[in-house]
Amino acid sequence: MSDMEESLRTCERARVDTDGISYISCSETSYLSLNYHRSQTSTKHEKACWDVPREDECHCFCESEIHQWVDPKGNLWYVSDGGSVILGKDGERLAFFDEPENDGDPWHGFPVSGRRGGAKRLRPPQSVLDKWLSSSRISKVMYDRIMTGRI
Amino acid sequence: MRYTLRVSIPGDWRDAWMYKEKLFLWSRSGRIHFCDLTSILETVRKASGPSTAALVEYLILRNDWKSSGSFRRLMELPDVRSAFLQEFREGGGELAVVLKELQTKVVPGSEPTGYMYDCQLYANRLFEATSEGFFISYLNPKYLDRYLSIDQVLDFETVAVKAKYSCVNVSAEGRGLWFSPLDFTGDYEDPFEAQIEQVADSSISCSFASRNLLNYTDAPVPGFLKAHEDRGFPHARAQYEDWKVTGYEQQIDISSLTMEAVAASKRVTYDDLPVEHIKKPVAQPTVIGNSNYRMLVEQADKLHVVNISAYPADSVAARRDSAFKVSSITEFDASQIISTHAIASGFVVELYDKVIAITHNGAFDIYQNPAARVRSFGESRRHQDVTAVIGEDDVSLIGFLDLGVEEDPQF
Repeated sequence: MSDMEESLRTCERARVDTDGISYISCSETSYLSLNYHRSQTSTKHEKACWDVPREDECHCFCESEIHQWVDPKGNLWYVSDGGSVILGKDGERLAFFDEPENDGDPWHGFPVSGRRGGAKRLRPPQSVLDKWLSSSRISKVMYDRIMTGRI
Repeated sequence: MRYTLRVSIPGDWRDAWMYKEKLFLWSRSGRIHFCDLTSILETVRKASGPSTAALVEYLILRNDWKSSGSFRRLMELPDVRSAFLQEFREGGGELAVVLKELQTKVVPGSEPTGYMYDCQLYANRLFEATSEGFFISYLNPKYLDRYLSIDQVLDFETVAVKAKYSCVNVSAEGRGLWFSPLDFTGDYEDPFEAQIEQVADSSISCSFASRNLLNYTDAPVPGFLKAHEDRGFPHARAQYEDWKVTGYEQQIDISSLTMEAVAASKRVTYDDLPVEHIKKPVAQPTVIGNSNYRMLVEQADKLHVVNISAYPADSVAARRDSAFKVSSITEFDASQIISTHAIASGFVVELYDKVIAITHNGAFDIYQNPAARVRSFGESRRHQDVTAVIGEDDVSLIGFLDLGVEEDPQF
């Protein structure tokens, strides 16, 4: 995170739940850092696992929420500045936050890769990439790499 | 000693192709620009002098000359070599030329809908795989005013295209691999008569291995489709016969064959594999990419080159290519590989932060920044060792001379 982002960071841990740790986001939304997206031993099924601390995981969500990097289905997407931060244990540089099905449920998310051939390929829609590019969040190089399924 | 030459053209580009004496450039808005290769040479000559222009001609615009016997003999003469390579002295083997003054023109005509994932120029046709489908249009470099309306051949997302041998193959991820023979006997104004058929269930990209096809999916090793082939004149005005691919046999799994070839020091054939291996491979290698019949294979953190072949009357066969020394191609982390591309001398490999070439003499950097897109022209005669790299604000045409010796005493 940049110094400026750090200074504006107000998200905080709320409590420990059975399936993860709950946070209150910078926009005061409930976010749950799920155990099964932190360690492969926490699940029978293979899940994408974060490779950043839980606090940073939550703040990825905060940034997506603040900037409204939202797709037409209401899900949020995240990429670090320039895509420089590896977010997942399989080298993922993007993150996806599922819109909760029920009002009041907490958000949760996991790192993703848009790379073609990847077993769980998930790529942000072009509208989100356009937002990232126009706000200089990502370079044209990174835009094309994500669009063509190389990242 | 290696010498790398880079010619950069500033601009907001998305893709590039060198084809029939022209450089075609796609802007990020989708317009196709072009310039004559002779105008590149003239611009270099004016800006940097005749010595640099000669290097551009040999290493980029006509690098079939580079692979000729006469050129190799000349390079064995110390005085000739020293004079030819003099422009590389200051840069320690690297030379970069920026063509700020180069003028491009726009090809008139409509553009396909959607985001263009891949394209290819072949037989005066432009093949484009986009988020909205697969498109073919007539684009003759001699008559660029005749760029005609586009025929849409597939109406769902396609991600990769490979055309040669009078046929085209299109990858559409979960919607399969599609094949169509190409008939050039009609008039160019005739609409493309689609004879397109699905030949495999899934495909993220495909690549010719001689006339056969490697189909990349989410499996570690691509499927292999043996070609049905024929020789004939590709069109009415053709002076020479050429190979035509008329179809493929059913895709086969070559993972066991590849694994056996990596382990063995001899040629291994598909028919000779133990049956239990075909049913249940033990430890699979990963084919990272291929350059024609050469497959770049990663196994147990080591890279190997395995050659794959399938002559008409023979079983599919593979053999490890010992000319590519394992020790010299393991200098980088295989997990950092983003894409691979075919050149005549070996492979071009896109890593996260740079682009490298792998030849018989080892791996070396050819571009030291992240690439938006990489193109190579391994199947071209004149640009077989050239790589086009789309960067943030330019496109670079990159050629090299790999003399295969550590020290050049004349340099």
